[in-house]
Amino acid sequence: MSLNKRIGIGILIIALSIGGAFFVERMAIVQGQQAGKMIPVVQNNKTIAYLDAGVIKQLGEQERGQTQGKSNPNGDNEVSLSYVLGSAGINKFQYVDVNGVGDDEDYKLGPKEIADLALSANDNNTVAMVKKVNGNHVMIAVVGKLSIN
Amino acid sequence: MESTEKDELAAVLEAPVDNFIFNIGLADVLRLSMFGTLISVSRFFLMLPMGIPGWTSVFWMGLLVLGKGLIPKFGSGTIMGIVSGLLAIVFGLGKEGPLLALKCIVPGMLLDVLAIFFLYKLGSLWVGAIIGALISFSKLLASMALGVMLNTPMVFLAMGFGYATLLHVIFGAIGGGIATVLIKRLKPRLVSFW
Repeated sequence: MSLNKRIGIGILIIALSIGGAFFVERMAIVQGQQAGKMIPVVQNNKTIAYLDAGVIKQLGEQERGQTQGKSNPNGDNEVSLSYVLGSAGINKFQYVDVNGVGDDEDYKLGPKEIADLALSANDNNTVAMVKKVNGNHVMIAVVGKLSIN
Repeated sequence: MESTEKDELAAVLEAPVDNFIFNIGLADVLRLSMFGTLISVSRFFLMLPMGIPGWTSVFWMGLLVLGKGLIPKFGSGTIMGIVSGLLAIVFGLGKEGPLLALKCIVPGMLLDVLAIFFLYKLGSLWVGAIIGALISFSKLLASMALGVMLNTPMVFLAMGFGYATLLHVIFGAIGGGIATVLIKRLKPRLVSFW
């Protein structure tokens, strides 16, 4: 095989790698959103951040580190919804629309209502929304989307 | 008389170390170690907060292709990768710990394979750029594999993967391209010297 043919093959592999990478990324986002494994945080019709179970666990660790010595009702895989929004750079909002995947209910929550709420990483890499009053009351089993208004 | 003694001494010094590793002599291994060291040292000194993924590939892949072009023997890429990987661990250039070496060794190993595929024509601009791009992409894939092994959240791995690939390929190609220019200029001078 001539060098020119080999160069052609090389260029083809590079083009396929770049195209494949964009395709893999797109597929990961679409499939992750459908299964509730990737949660978009939307503000003004723009996705400003993505969350998943791993992020929730890491944010939970951060929150526990910051609240050492103070009361924190959240468990190992949980983090306050307000802390999550703060981490995404959202400090002022009127309400948050939390949508569930499939048959799960949707909630419209004001700044005061989210105080008792936490996001909890499930075993199947999805995230649930729980109310931390009188035990853990699961409001949404699999969170699909957070819309900030 | 003097030249004969020198020749004999050179033969004695050369003979036991002709096949030090991968059929590469000790002298070449030391030269390759120099390139591996340069890669890690340049990464250490050029830790600029550019915020552009893959920009280090310009000199990282450039030095790998340059080393391979000047010492075109099978295994030379792997040796440079191992040396730079070990030094990267010593310098603490990443958060991955000892696994960081993988990120350095993978491009070196792929470089050895690609050099064979491209008939060791690393002096060609196209070949240098393609090899630089591909080994830079392999570095990104190795980083992704490390992320999966270290339980990095999928969001961080999947987001911007396409963009990161594009930039790694571009910067790798630039590094490989620059390396071919240097190979063309350095090789005629170094062949007589080495």
